[in-house]
Amino acid sequence: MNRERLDAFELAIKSYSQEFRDIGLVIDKEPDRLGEFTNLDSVQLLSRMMIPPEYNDRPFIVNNTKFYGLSCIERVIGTEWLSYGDAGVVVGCPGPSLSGIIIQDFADEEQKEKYYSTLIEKPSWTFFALTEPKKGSDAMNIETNLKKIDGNSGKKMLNGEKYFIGNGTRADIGVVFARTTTGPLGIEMCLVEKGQDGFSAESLGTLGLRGPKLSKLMFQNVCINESQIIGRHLSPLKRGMHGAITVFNKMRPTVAAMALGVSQAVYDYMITNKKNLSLDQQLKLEHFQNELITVRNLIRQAAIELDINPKNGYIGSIAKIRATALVKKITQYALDLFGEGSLFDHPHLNKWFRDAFAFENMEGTSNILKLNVFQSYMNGNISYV
Amino acid sequence: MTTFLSSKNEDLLNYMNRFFEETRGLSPIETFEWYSKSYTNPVIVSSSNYFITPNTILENPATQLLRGNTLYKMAEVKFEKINDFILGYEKISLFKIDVPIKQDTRNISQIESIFLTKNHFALIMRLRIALDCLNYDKNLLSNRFSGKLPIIQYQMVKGQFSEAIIKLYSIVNNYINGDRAIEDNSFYAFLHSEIDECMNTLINLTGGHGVLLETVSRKIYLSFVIKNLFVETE
Repeated sequence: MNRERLDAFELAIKSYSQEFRDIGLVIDKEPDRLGEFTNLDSVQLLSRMMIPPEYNDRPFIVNNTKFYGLSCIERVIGTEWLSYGDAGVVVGCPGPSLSGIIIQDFADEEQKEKYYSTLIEKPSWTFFALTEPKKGSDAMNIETNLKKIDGNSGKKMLNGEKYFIGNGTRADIGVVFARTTTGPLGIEMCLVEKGQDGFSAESLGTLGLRGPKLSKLMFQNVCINESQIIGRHLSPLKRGMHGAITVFNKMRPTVAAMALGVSQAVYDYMITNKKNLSLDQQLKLEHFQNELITVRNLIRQAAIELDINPKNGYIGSIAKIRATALVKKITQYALDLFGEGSLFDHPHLNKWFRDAFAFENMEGTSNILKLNVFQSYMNGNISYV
Repeated sequence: MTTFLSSKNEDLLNYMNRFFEETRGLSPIETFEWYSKSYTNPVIVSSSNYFITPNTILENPATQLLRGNTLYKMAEVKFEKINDFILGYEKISLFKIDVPIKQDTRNISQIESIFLTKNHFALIMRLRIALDCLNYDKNLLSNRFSGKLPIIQYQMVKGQFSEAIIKLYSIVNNYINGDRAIEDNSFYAFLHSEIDECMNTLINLTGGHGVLLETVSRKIYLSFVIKNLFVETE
């Protein structure tokens, strides 16, 4: 992928953001209505991103180049501008999302066939179920378990609960992390479909980013066949826990890009709608503009590095820490700038303000990411410093 | 606590101390009610164009609306309800005032006017919400574990949690023991910016739980609504 092609991709994808902006407030109020908009070009485009060429006959084509959203750099650029339209719609859209990375990197051919054919048949939602009510996203300590059933059938029983799972109530298929034994090698990933006996989901109300309808998933004696164990053809060292780390590393810049897209939207909204800025206000906006550039550079460099080496996660951590701080700062400043009642006179500002809190918790909180940055530094892995 | 920093009126100091004692553990709606009922007749405080209140106060025929330095009988005020589903979770409603409103009611009395300002109202409401959230965080993080330790016992968490305590203590100290009046706009905006920082820290500490409506997020939203309506920031 060269710079010219990426620039063309960026220009093309920007044009889809308005459709997301147009439906953002509706979805925020009534997330269930997202299903009414699956025929929009922008939703179709996003729902087919991250589906590889073998299964995807309708990629995004710009100047004769086909884009499948399989690289981090494509994803961060696409996600930034679609989130500029509306981040809640981005996260609530049908398509592979987080579980797509697991399938792309760890699934065998039979599992890929099942997963991608479900998504190609019609716009379908997926889920990625790692986080738990008591353990958060600490993959090492998850309690959901996968236990062998007596006999030689190879079947296992899945029991446990997952929490904060995007699109869990509307998804057709997804990935669940569970523990077979103690220790990091005892973590497995399995492909679970809607309708399996013992699997249920319920919505959790959230302050912002309401498109994906965060949910609680419950697994009660769900029967898992050997064919549902993702990465069964790989050694335990190269699946399970490794899968969780890979997904978080690869998706962190994408979450940062969502926060950046919202920040840019807020910035442009202030520039467009606030007249007669004082000198202080102009300086403040100039400062925000510089922060936007800084965060964009970090995110894109993180993506480029991760496309070369998926273990190189620290730049993504730095990018996400800065992006989530920026989005809160800029949305709260915008409310101050527009003054009394701006939360209600400017519905987009209200939504952006609420959405801004959500990014902090996706793919690692800032505290956890700071530890990652520190450890990378101590290990001598951080370039330049 | 003894201090020689403040030359605040003793009634005001007593009132503020009573507020912190008596509203401890109260929900936002109960705190609104406490505030409203501190006076001869129930009072709803409004900004230039908006007011927020539990319906229980609005439905009381004796309730008055304080706008600027004037008290109005609610029957004389025209207003429309603004639907906001998050405030609804707290059983608090938001209204926009139709201006102009009649100004033929009595002026507030001297003794009440010390407390009956939108500045006092917004500050103590936001402080109470922040203290509630601090308490919520303490309970949540003491009962969640990473490995064998409760999350609240991790150094980074303790550090951040303390930052919230430090901010809150500083604000309360400024408010009660300090001598700078909250009628000073830049000082007042500064106090609220400190509360903002505190709220941002407190929601971060709760991780994913913080964005659920059933937890602190709707209280934090209410806090920012109060700021957005009552505090002149720019």
